[in-house]
Amino acid sequence: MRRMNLYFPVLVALLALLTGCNKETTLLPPREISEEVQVIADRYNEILTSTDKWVLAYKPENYEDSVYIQLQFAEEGKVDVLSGYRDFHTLQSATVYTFEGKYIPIITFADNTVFGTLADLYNGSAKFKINYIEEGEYFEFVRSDGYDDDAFRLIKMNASYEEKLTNQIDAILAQIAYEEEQARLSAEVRQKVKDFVEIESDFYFYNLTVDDFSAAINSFDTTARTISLTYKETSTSAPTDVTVGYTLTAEGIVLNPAIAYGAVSIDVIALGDLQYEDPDSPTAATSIEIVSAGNAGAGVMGYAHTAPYPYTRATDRSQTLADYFVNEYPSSVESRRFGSKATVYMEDFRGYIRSLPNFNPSGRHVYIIYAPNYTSSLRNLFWVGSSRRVDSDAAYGSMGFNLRVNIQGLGGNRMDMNEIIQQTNSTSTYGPVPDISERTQEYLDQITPAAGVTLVPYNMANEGSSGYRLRLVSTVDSRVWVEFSWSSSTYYNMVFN
Amino acid sequence: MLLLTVVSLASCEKEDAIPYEPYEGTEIPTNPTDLSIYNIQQEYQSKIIYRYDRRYITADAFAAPPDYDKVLPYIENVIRKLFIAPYDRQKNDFMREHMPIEMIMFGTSMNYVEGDERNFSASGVAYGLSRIIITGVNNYDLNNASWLRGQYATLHHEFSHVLDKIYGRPIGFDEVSKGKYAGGTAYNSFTQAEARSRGFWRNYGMTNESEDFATWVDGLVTTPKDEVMTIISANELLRQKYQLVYNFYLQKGIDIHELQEYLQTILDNL
Repeated sequence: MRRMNLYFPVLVALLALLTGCNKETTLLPPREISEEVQVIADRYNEILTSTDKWVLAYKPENYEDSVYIQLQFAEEGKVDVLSGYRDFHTLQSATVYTFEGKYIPIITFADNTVFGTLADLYNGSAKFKINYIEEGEYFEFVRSDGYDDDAFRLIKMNASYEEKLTNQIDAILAQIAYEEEQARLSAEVRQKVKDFVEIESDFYFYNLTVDDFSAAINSFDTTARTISLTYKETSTSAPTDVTVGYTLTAEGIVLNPAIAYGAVSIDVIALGDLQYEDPDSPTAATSIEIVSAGNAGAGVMGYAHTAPYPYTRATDRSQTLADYFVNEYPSSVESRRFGSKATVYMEDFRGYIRSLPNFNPSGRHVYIIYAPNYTSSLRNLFWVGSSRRVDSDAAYGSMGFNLRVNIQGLGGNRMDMNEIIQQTNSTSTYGPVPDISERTQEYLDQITPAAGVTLVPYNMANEGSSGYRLRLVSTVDSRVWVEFSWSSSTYYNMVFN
Repeated sequence: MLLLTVVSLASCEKEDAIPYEPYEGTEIPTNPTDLSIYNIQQEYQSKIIYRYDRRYITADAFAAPPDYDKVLPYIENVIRKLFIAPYDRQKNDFMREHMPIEMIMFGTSMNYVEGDERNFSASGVAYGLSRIIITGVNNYDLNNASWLRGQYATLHHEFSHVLDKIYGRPIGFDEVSKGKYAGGTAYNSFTQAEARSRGFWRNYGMTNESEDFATWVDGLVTTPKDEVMTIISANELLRQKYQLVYNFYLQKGIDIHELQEYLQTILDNL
């Protein structure tokens, strides 16, 4: 008794805990079958099992075609099912079927059969009122819930229905093969996109350029699945910024919405092979081939040496930055910064200048370039100089080298600034000036090659400042660029884009 | 004695045999509308009547007959899909055993005479366990979800009266709001909030215990379960009635929430 007293509260608590864990479930009465219906069902079972194969052409309400379903009934409520519906197109052995009903026999197939799936997805049924038509030796199936009174015939399998079922199964197998191929291609596309976004290059431009379309790629966001581009419909159009979503399919990158204007429509971008265009790193990809981009032709996507479109003046789209620089620029500019590869060339050239006799290696203006001045006699002048002579006497002196350079536009916002005409007007307050034209020509071949440079506006807002500078970017190797600052705000506030 | 017996037998006049006339069943209709009605009658022992008969309307009311062209689609899409199937998919033969013997179709609502105390329009009427009046058939429009929902709400409402007559309301149901009914048409003077506070699904249920039960049913078949749970959490009267109505159906093999979900699915896909 005492022992009971000790354990009883614990037992009660345990029982309460267990009871509390019971999940509440809704219990419906068991399925019923009356004696009369059972008799009919037994007879139906005899008929069903005495025939090798039956076939039912069943069309659920929301399915567009009839599904051919082969049924092989066996003893003990088991039926083998083969259908022309995907995922049930191979033989499903020994599924369960039962009979129910108080007045009319109802045959019920298991939920895990094609009937259950068609019921769930296409408003079909897995339960049918079944009636044997003696004269025709077939059964009539009508869904049991009264939703409609459409009757479907379960007949003995024959060659015609066997062929229909086989055709459906063949179509499913073909579809599966197609989808597997599509999946393989999709995986290939995914891999190509992955390879593309992993490309690292110090080429100046990042473009998507095909025959009839060219854009700067601002971002390719694989998380948000968006591509942000800036393009011009024509060379004299204002730039258009666009951000479109994309999905990856077997066909390629599917844009949503498509980029479309005029006759151009780019809905799908089909990718080809990676491109390797950097001679300094021949195994590193720089871009990827575009096999097709909608109706805009083929091309490449990735890093490039040339701009996607000409930069033109916002207030006059017919005027490129190169046009302005060559023809109208009314004042001087100074070189400020050099691109990665241009720096190498510049340092080499500077070393040469510094090695000249009587030249002060600490001079401030060692490699200043005064580019063309439209109005003055200094037009087309390339100037290298030092503000101080080498000795340290108090008198101010300098040594400068003026070289006339032939500057001309090449069209499409490109410019030729390569050919030295002559070294002239060199100045020095300290001794004779050596002829540096040959070495300077070598230098210009490197930084402003004869093939031309692209003139690119550089927005100082990128560095928290205001206004624009311009860059001369080699069309041969865009890593070679020289940045100039305009001489006054009148010019550096002008917008070219 | 022998002679007497012989005389007696001889005096019995032999009657002519009653001639056998073979039974002739109802001819199976050929037109689709009547064939559909015939099939339902065969299957569910329920007769759908669409031919206008003034006797189906009370003397103080009037209603128009249904358009013939709308009768068949109404039967196929409303009666079969939204009335019969919701029950029979859960419980075999439920409608065979419970469907009213007659369902009378009218094209308009049942409008009671103005000036009458009952001055209102009825969307449906149930007479005992044998007859349901269906109204508004002429507004048949499968694209009008509001009309469809109203139709099936009415059908299930009226059908609950049939079940009420067959089984009686759940024990204790009439006690929950005892003394809180309005009676007659006085329910109109109560707001929804007042009706709910008294344990009614809506104020029309305050008419009497029978309408109270039926309004709960039409409420449950048109309201998602989570909303129902929120509504009944307001007070104990609502909770008690909900439990009684829910169990009433469940005991007959019908989960009324599942029925509501199914109706909504059908509505969404029509």
